[in-house]
Amino acid sequence: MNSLVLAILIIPLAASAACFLLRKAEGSITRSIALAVSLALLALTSKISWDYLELVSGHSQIVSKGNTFAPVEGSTVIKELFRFQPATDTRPDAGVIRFYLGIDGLNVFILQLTTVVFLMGVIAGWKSVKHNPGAYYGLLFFLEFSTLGAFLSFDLVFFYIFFELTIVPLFFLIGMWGGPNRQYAAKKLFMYTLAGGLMTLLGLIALVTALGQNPGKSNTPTPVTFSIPDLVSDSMKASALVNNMAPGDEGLSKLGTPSGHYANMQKWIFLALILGFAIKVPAVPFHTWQPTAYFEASTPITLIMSGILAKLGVYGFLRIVLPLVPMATMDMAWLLGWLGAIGILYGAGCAIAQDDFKKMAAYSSLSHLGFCLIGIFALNETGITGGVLQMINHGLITGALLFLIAGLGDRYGTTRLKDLGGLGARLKVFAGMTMFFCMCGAGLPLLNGFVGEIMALFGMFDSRNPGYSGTCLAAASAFGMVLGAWYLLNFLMKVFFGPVEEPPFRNEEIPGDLSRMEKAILFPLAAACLYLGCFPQPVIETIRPEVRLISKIANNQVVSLVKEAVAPALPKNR
Amino acid sequence: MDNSIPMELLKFLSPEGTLFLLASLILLIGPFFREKVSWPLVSLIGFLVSYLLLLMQAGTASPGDNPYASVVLGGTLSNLIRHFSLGAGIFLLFLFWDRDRFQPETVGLLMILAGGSSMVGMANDLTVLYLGLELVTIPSYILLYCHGDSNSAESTMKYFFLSILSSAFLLLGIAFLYGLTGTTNIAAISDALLLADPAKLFGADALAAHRLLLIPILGILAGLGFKISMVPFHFYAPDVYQGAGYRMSAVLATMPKIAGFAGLIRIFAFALDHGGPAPTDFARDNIPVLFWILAFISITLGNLLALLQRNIRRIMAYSSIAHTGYILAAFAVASKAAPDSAFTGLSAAMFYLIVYFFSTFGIFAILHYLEQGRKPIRDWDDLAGTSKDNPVLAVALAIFLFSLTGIPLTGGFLAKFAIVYCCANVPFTLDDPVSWESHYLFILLALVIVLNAAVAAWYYLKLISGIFLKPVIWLEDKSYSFKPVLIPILASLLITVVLGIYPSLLLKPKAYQELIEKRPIAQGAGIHGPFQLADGKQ
Amino acid sequence: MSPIDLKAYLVLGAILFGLGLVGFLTRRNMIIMFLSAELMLQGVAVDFLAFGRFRGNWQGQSFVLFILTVAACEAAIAMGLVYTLYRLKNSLDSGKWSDLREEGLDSPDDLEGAWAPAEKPDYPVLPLAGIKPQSGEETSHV
Repeated sequence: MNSLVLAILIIPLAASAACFLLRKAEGSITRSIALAVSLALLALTSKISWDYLELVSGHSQIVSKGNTFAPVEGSTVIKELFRFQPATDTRPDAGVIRFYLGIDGLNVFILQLTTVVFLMGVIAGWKSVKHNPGAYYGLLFFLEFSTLGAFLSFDLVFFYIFFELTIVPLFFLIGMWGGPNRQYAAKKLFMYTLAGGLMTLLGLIALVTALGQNPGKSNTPTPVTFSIPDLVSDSMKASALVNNMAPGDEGLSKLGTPSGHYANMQKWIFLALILGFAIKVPAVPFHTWQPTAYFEASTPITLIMSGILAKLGVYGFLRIVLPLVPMATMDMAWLLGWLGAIGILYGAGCAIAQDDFKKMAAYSSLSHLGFCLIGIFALNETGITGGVLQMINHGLITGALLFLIAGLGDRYGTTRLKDLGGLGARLKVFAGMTMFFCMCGAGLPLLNGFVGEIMALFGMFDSRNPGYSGTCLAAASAFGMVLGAWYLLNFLMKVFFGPVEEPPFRNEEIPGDLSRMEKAILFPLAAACLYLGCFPQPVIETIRPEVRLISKIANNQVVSLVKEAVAPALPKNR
Repeated sequence: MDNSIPMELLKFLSPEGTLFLLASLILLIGPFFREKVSWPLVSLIGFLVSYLLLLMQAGTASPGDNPYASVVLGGTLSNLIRHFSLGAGIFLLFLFWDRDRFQPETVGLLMILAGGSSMVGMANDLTVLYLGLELVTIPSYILLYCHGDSNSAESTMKYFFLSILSSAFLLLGIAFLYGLTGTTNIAAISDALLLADPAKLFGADALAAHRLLLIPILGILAGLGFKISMVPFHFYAPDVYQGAGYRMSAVLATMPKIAGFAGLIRIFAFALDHGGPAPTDFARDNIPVLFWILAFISITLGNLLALLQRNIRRIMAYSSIAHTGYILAAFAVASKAAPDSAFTGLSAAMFYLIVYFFSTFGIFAILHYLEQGRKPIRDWDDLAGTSKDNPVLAVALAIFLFSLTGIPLTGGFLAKFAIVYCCANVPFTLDDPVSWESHYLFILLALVIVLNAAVAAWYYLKLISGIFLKPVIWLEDKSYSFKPVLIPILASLLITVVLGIYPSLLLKPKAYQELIEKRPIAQGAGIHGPFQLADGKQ
Repeated sequence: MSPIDLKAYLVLGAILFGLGLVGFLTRRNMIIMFLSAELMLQGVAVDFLAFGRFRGNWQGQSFVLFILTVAACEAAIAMGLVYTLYRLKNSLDSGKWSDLREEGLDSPDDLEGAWAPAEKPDYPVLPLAGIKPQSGEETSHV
């Protein structure tokens, strides 16, 4: 499997270089190359997922692979790049930045989603990308390369490298192929994401050095490590140390013990880390770049940003924040929970008020990603599972909806709500598909949107965190689901029902229904949505080990904090 | 004592010697054959011969095994700076390949410049260090006057007068350093400042001695701070770069910095060591704090002032001030690493300097090349249309700018990463409040660096959006022909990207620390033992 | 033991250095500015000599020789530079050179109009080294 893993990184990079070199060639050639490469990548990731599922179901014991966060055997690619410190006997990978890739339950489906969304992006831009297609597809594949790299990395530094690298192609893709106000949108996106990302970098470095200095009680520093599995086990050791301290004598946050220092540092590290991820998602107070960027970007780019790049931030929470700074996460999960709930309501409210599909899609994305946040920061198994499912589902649904919006844009040259109406008569299959995906988005039971959102809500409702108004948040978020149905139905009604309103046709050409290529991608997607809505269990089973580990790290904290709250009743030498 | 010059020393000095001899020869006879000989080629051959000589003595430790008796010092760091200076000289030479009236003078002076910078890198004596610095400075006045753009006279005037002022301060510092320690040998001075009871140094009470030590420290910082355009001494940089044209900006933004930082490393070796003998309070506490403050104001002021500029060379001048600040931050943290740490601020600083050189050189060289076929490029919006008429160089320019911003997969990212890592990794012990304090202070510095990197992104992004996004109404009809300057541009592009992916080529732990290698401390063993004459008033 | 001790020499050096610094910072005539800078160097040279004598080794004195050499180089360049600058603006006032500055700042040239520029005299022109002077024709490279 590891050659496959390497291949899905190398192929987009090579394709990107090829597209740049072929920038003088005909647009149709580059487009065909782009389609072929995207299909090949889709096939490769499908193979990887298939292999992974076989591996997991074949050895059911892999589920209990212990308290490690390591990728499955056979999927790792490791290349040592730079050594900060000489290796020690106990830990040969200490002090070294490695090119460390792997597959585990958390990223396997997201990789699949990435290639699906990029394929949709390529097809959605089939007609609209006329200007300089070589550079466009070159940048697109570079974006795919960095996105896949970020999802595959098991080394903190490489995760960050790929994470940050995504904004470079995005800057050019928005700035050169966007709407009239594209320069401003591109600069705003770049500055926001870079500033947040740099804070994340500081957080990561502080995390690595803080863990390197003191999981043990002695003052001798253990060698730093950048490998995420090792960091997780270090972090668990340190948490256990703090938990085992008798309450009162060497307080959790008192400077004076290494672990106390560690607990104290965690708060700051947490804040630094979430800044970058929350901007990437985006979560509510940091979302102001999003409407301009989504609106000014060409629709295929909006599709990719909303379908997969937003997931990078959520993935960062899952992969890094939750397992590596568990104490601070426990203390401050309420903050992110509230941000998620506010995002759900605020995004839905704004989406109702928009007069443009793309803006509506941008705000609906804000709303739906809020469910990921409340699910993940419920910190229990149900919630986290819901968050992960919601990531996948939202990618599929919003991808398909934006794909359809791109189709409307291609057909009518407008995305304004008031220009279109009653199209159901002319575009029958188109209208049917749009309706189906809107229903998925609105969270109709038996469709996939429902599963993720309901599990996130259950998780939040069930959250045991003391002083954490889970019920309140869950109720608010449930109301957000109603608002979501409102704007989606509103959109459907205006565009596909009622009297026909069409802008004058461009090129005297009557817009046709879905083309064969569009059908070829939308029908399987619809099938996938239906399947995930009816039988989500295989996915849930596959991601279970990792989710259980994350929630265990968090729950360990829950127990300890509960213990502290009733400390006087407990024996002191606990 | 044997007064003849040993062969070993001659062999050690042969690379620089070749450069200086050939340069003198070119300056002497060049003017009589102005048009007849391809002078850059002659100079390139000279550089290559000197480089070969340098390669041949790789591994040579030092001429003579007693650092207290030698005026020059070998070792990894010295080797690195010598290679770097000569390489930088070769790169800069290609900028001046076009035939013009001052060719022999130009190439000769460039060779002296490179040799001078290399001399600073290996200096183990204040005399050598001072001469090396002057050999970098004096030729640059003439080059600046001859090769600047229309304002070169004013720019030379400003550079010249401020430069002699700064060298007066440098000399004052050196004089007092000599007076306090009784020797000009840097190894002996380091020992004296590291180990000595300050009271003994000058036969005065300790407080007065501390005050007296401030004179050399501040004087030398002022003198070298001018060369590296550190903040209180940065005033000249924007004006001079603005009037200097792209070629001379490339020279001024790199060569004096290499020399200046090499000088700082040499003189402040005692305060950059992290695992040596227990340093005096002075070396341990005061000097890192000084560097901390200087780094802080250089980074912040440089970046903030760059935001206000329109002229590209002024932007680059302020950005170079900010980059000086980042390197100074690495200096500040150098002595704070854990005793067994393999990777310290010094390695990070050298790596940063190298990455900075290639990126800055690339930007100036490309702009110089682009200026050939069209109207002068002054402000950032003059760059509009570059991506249309020369897409390859536009992409290269963007990569260099991203490297200075610190975007991953370029050398600039790992350089900043290394410095931030060092700042965040200052160890502490539980019972020592001072170590806690410095731990938090340096995390604050890391925060400052990170925030400023975000601020800096704005003006680099301004340039990039000028290149790619700014709409062009009307394109000039230009044709670009091949020029030799494209060779070093390509080379620096490759180096910038390769260092971003595989930094182990240059960023090696343990590599650059032999500068303060654990040499035997002079127990009266040196020929000019520092303390012998402390009471020897005559 | 000499009746004048180290301190006296250092004070002399400091006075020279300080006079030079003050002169450099307050005067605008470029020749005077350069002379002031030279005065600073000489103050440092006195320090070096005094320290060399005090420490009883030759390093201080040898350093002074280098300082003098470098100062001579700089003087040569300074004279050439000041000469060409004078020819360009017909003035030795350093304040006249203020074309390069931050945008939006006024020129510090407060003497504008206070004196009338002299008629430009007919200076002799030097050719580049190695080139035979051509008679009667401007060959200036500036």
